[in-house]
Amino acid sequence: MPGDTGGSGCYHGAVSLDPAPRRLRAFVAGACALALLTGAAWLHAQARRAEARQAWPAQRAIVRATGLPDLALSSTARWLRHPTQVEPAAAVQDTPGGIDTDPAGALLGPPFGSPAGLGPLP
Amino acid sequence: MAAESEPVAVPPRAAPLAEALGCTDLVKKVRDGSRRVAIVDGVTLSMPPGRLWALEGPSGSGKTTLLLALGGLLAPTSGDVRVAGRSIVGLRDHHRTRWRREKVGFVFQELQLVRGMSLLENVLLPRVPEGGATAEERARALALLARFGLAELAGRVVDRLSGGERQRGALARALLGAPAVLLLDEPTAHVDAENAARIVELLAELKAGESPPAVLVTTHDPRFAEHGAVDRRLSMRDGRLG
Amino acid sequence: MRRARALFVYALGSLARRGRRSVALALGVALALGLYASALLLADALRAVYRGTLEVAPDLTVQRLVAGRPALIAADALGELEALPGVRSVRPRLWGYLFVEAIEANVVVVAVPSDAPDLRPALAAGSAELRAPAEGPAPALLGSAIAARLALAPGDGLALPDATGELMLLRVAGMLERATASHAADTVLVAETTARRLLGVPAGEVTDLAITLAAPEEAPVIAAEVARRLPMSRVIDRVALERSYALTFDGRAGLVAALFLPMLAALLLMAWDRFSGLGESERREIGVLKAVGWGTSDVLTARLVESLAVTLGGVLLGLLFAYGYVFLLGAPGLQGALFGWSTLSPALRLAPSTSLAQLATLAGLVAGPLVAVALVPAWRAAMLDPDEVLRGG
Repeated sequence: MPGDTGGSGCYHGAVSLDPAPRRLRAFVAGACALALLTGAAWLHAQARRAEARQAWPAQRAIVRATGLPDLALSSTARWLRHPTQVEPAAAVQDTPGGIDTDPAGALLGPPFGSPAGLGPLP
Repeated sequence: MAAESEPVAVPPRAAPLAEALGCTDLVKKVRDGSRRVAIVDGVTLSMPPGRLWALEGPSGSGKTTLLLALGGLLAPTSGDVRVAGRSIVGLRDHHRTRWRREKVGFVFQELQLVRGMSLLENVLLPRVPEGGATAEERARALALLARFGLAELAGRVVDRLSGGERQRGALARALLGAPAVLLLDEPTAHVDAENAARIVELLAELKAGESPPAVLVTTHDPRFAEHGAVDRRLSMRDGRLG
Repeated sequence: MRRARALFVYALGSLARRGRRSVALALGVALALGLYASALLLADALRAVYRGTLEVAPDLTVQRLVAGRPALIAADALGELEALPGVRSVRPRLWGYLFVEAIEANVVVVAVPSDAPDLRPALAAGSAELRAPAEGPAPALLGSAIAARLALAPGDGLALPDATGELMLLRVAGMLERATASHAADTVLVAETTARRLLGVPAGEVTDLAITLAAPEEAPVIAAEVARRLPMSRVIDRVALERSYALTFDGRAGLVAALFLPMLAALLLMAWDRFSGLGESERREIGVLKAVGWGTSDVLTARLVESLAVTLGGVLLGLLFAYGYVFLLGAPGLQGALFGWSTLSPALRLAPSTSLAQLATLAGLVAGPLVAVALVPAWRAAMLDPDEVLRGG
């Protein structure tokens, strides 16, 4: 091939006379690789979900027995360990009726229709 | 690849047209500050097929603008342009584009070829919007390149070609579609004497071919204008043919 | 069709010719989107864990407030609440926190009443029998993180400080399943008497009351009635439970998202530069294409394919990266920011629960502007007269 005259980089040296098949092959290879990875991730996700569903009975047994639905994500402050049971007048609470789970102000106001018992303090 | 799907009836190429390229009262004005200046100012010409004309004139005389307008690359302010028997001024954009692709070959003074691409791919570029080159067109392109002494370089990336080689490559591309009109802008300006002579010879050879195109060349180069193959010398000054 | 194929091949060629910049842009998209999607996937997976158990949580929880803080509540309030119409049962709950110096962490001590629902599904080893024997140490069930930290097995002894400051010896009756770590990694389950001694809660008082309703949808009405009967009380319904978690993770994921926005902006600028700075060479390329007979739509189609390939490739890569990072690697680095910095951290095996529609929306939000950024300058260049392009106009 006249084009096979060597050269330094891919695009400065040899280029075959009809680049279409080579380009399409490269594209299809790339697309297939992504598709395969996506498929693998999807299968993995299905397996993980099945596993998670299997964990439900044990988790529900605990929540039924203790009556505490909170996740054990933080074992430091009680408003982080049991955010749903946090005292409404905790130091970090900004708005009456707002469930301020993270110590911060907010751009948006508290949600409408605050649950009963969470209204302004007497 | 002619015009089966073309909506307007076209005379078959075999029947020689009286006129391959023509214009009437062609005017192109551009804005210069607050004024509008006519770069091309009322040009009328009519060119039969198979002729080689040279268009001379100093820089800024409007040669290139006239060439672009004749090739349908530039919308004129007023006046009419006819290519292969059809007025292209009033055409809708995509019809004009297509007509141009089929009937007009263009070679620019600079930036003829797309960098990073092989020479052959460059030559076949006009075929891409038509669905890519067929095997025949590919063979034709290779034959054109061989005729222009570029056979060995077909697969080479154009960045690695000399100026003369690029100029000839651009000429091969312009001829790929067997156009009715070939327009060249200063084809010998940036190449050495040897390459310039070669390009002139190639253009002269075209006249001998089958259904030769009308060739209009803008030039500064007296060697070109005085070449025996040139049928007529037009000179342009301040937007007018003199 | 042939035209589409030819333009597609041409676009792939352009992509390869500008290979380094194309790859850089795709990786930029992948990184920015990947970070954001990681936070999204992680937060959604956590919400799913929470939701999985929400339906077995009490319908209403009643706390007593003293000086605006939750205080112990008298267990005899129970009778009055049980009499309310619509209330199926009221359970006194006794639970609280205990700081254990040996592991420098808070553990949650929860009393499990003898009539509590069966704990066996949650048990990994040992027995769920928590009734204190007449002689010897009281039994306790340990959460998986505590058991792992202290390297305890059923039958071992465990000394926890009681309310008087003295150590109280407990016997490890059993250990909870690892699958329950999400809820009880730091929890010690004991009998009521043991809990009273550890937490210092006097007889007759409890931490709060859990109410189960006959019809959960009546919760707001009954909550209001409870609040009326017990003036200094706070009633938490299930909506509030769910909202707390939505807010927690929304808030934390939002912080990560806030990091992502400037990144996206930077990326758009980079893309703008990549596509519009069109080095003169790309502008000239468009000029050449128009001159050899390409129409504006041909130029734009090729451009669209090129930018779609870059951005969609980047988007997909980013989502895959996020998936692998969160669900295969466990999101190192991000986990702490989203979960909280726990001393007894649960080992979680999270399952993806983000919907495909949500991911597609996210992908569209990123890819849309990027493709637009690629197309607009090309469109402008393609609309110009070739003359202007050629003359660098």
